[in-house]
Amino acid sequence: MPVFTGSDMLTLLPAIVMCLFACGTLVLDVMGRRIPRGRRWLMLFGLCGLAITGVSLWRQWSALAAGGLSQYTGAQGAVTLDGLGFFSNALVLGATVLLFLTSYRFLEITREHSGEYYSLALFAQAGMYFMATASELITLFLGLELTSISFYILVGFTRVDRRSNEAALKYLLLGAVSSGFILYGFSLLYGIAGSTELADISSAVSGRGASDPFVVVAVVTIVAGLLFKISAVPFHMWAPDAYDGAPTPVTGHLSVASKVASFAVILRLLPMTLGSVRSLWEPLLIVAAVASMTVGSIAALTQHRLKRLFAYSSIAHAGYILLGIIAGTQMGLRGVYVYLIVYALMNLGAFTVLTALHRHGIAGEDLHDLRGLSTTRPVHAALFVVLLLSLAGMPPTAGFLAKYYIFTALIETRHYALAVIAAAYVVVSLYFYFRLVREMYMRPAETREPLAASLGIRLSLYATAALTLFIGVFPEPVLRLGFRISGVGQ
Amino acid sequence: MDTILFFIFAIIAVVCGLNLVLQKHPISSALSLIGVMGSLAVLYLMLGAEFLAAAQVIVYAGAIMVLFVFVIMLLNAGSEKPGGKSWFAQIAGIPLLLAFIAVMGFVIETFLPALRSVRFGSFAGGTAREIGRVLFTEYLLPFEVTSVLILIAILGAVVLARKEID
Repeated sequence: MPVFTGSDMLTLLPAIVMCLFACGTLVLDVMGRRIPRGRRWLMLFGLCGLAITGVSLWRQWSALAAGGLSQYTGAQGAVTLDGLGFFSNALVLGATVLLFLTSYRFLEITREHSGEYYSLALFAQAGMYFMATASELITLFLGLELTSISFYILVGFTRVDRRSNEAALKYLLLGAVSSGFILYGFSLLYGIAGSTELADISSAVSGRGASDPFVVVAVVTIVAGLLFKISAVPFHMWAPDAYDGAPTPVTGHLSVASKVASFAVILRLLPMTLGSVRSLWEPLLIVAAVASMTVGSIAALTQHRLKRLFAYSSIAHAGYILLGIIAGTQMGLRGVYVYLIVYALMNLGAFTVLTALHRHGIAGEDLHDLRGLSTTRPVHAALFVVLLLSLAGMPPTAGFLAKYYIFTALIETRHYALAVIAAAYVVVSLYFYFRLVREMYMRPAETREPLAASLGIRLSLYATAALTLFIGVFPEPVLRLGFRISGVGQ
Repeated sequence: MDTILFFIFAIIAVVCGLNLVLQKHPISSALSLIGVMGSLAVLYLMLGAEFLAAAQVIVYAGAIMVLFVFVIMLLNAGSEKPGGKSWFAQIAGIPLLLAFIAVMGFVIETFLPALRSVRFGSFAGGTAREIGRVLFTEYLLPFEVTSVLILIAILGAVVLARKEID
């Protein structure tokens, strides 16, 4: 039997493309040192790689659709192509495109521009491909590590900045502990099932039931490790520091792409594989969701550093997304998918604005750096307000729609208390998002230094803000596409 | 014979592990860690995992521990100063440890069904040939992904440690 067949090639194609382009970027970086504006070509080369990745993902999807299959497993059972994987990969791909577009000017200003940045982003994306598609524990764990290690380095990429170094070290140490937790849980699952395939584990676990001590320990450790990856309370300690210290475009990418991929892992492991012991992990998720919304919303009230504020806001958003998984119905699952799309758009848009605030000699990381933005850059300020409205969950923006799906799912499944708590924290979040609006519109400008607005930054800001509004007003086309890709009904 | 050997090396491993924690000087701790690794390698060998035993000696007891000892000597780390132990640790430490062991013993006795005992020599799939075969057929993809992982680690070391170019 041949070890590597043509269909294996199809299942791995996007990951292979990403790794090849990542290595190619490194080679071009060395060759292009002397070419004037060589770094621009590096970014364009990376974007080409992303385009080819997109095409290969589309080829996979159309091959599946042509065969009338809902999922296909290849590479000795290590990788499964299904709706969840396509959805997560498409979202991560979009986030990486925006990362490339917004990073160029930022890296020029911080004088840390080199090919390794793009290369690491592509490697991280390859890791997230395996996170989203792996159907076997070893591949899944390697995907997690591939992503985490790339992000540890990216977080510490601005080496002259002490806070960046500190953030990277903190993230590395805590991340290693969480990987240890996950690995311990995986080893117990392997011990239970005698196999690393998720399908075998699923049947072995349902045979043993929720009272088996091995199952209990395995589930608890895996949930703890995964909650760390999505920065849910009580495993959120790393997020404010890592987000604050990382280069701003990386912070945006970390808060969106790695979170989307981690939610794909959670969806695949908990409801899909360990669904039979739902009574074990559901209470853990409920506690984490409520705690995340509480800590995220309350702690964000007192932050005056922008990236810390958005770190706490993204902790709170993780809590809302967990609510969709807790509801567990078709509606809840749709809520998770809609929330992930909308969260990606609005968070990336917000971080694009933060990236533009970083100028020569101005860090642009504090709340008062926003002062007077409405007079100096009225368009940027208006678009930022749209994104903030969406983050707070106000109509007519997309954020309202996302929260609407989650709340409907909670009420359908009679989780009234959770719905009330979640709605209460929407009000709290309104307050801290409007602190930003107040700074922009009610306070006079402190500096006339123009924003760092490159074509890429402008493009990604316009695209995210426009889509946020568009989804809020006309949700039909985008949602239908999302549901079709993820395969959760029409 | 097997049982006697098992107990000898299990006791060595546990004693070395305790010694690792109790020693004040980092070098002594590192050397006891080598003792733990070595006796674990013998236990692996008795279970039939030849390749794992060899890797344990070469990689852990050899390469990694040499690195540990190097770093300790480069840092010229002296012996550990007795830190200010909290009164809680002094009073409740030993009782809590005993309580923990008792709880663990109780859990294992009551919840776990009687496990079959291990027979030494019954497993023969631990040779380098078997592992190589599995690694390059069933686990080919994880193997290749690991190589990418190592590439990223090298890349990271270069990125974070290089001098300013311009």
